[in-house]
Amino acid sequence: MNKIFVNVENLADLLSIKGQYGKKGIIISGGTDIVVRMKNNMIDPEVLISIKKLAELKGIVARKTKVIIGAGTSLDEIENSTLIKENYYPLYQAVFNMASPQLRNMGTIGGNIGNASPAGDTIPPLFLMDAEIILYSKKGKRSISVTEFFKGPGKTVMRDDEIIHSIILKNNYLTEKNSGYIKVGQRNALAISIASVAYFKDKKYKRFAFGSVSPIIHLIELKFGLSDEQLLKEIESYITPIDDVRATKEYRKQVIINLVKDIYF
Amino acid sequence: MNIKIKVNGQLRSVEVEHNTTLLQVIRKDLNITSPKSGCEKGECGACTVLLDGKPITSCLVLAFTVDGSEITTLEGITPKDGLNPIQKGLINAGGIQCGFCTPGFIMSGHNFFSKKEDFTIDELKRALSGNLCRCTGYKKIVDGMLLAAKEMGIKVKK
Repeated sequence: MNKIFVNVENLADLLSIKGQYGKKGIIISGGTDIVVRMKNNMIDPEVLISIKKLAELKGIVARKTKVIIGAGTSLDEIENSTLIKENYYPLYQAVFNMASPQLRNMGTIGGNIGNASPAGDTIPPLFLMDAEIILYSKKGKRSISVTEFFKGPGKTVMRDDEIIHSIILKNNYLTEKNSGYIKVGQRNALAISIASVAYFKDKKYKRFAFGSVSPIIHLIELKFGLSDEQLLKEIESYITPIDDVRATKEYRKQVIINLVKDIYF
Repeated sequence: MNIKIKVNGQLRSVEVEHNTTLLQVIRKDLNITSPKSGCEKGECGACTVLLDGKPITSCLVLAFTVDGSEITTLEGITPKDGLNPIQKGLINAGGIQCGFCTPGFIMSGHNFFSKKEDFTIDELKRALSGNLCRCTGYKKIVDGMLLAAKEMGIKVKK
């Protein structure tokens, strides 16, 4: 079987090729996940479409109270953006602690979202930002709230002819003082999250989104003044951790409880 | 597909398949052997090279995706008759044992120092966090990098 592999240099070409090949057309951005899966014989793409050279999908732009991040923007560029660090601190912190310098230069936010892993570190912060995922296809553009986008591990609402174009961030009040992203892994660099918490604290309520402890991430809002027991009950109603190579479900649960208690009380 | 890449300043043209990695091109087609094949999944950093000026793990880069790019390996930052400051520093601090990880560490260190007038030890360690060494225990690698910084006139912040 002859493989098809192309570099696309403009959006129109990308949409046309993706429309033509549909599910068979695998988009490769940073490649940090796809190439590993190809090497492990987990996937054998017939059509590889590289968007590494597609400038239209790169960059971070401020628009009034929103910020738009191109799907092909590298994690390194997000980490080094003062706009992100000052207004969307949990995303900055998530990216700062991801992978390694080399992989942050390669990996992109669109790739992290498109993979739809419950351990994807950029995803829980997006829930605090009321983020919208902008999808394009030959038929046009649509915008999906981050709360509706994910349907399970590796599953999203995207159609086979669609691509992730950009991510819109709202709620630009997430600063180092009132918010953050805490990740627990086996070591600092190069570790996949065992459990993680993105959080925001206000005078009235506290918001959380947990990573790696449920198939779909939820935005959780907790009022002030809950007792220890009530808090525990609330947390338990949102998480369904699993055992895997990195940790047991009991360990994951305890980690989340400890992290939330530290933030809440 | 035929790709054209500039490697250490020289334009090279190579025929690649869909799954040929940049590391394979560098080592097998171009016979440049400082980048090493270690874990082959982007975690050990032994294959680190600069792609358009930024360190990446070349084992995870599909060669066809970097058509038209510039690549720099350790060979490209080493003077013809001698050693660069990081190589000297690592030798003098005993930061080299088996040497397999060394080219990758040097590329990460080189990229870090090329952007800095001063730095903290924590920043340096973070810049090296994508490179694994199973011999030295890292301390002597950091010591070697500090010797190199001193030679290049780059200061350690307190």
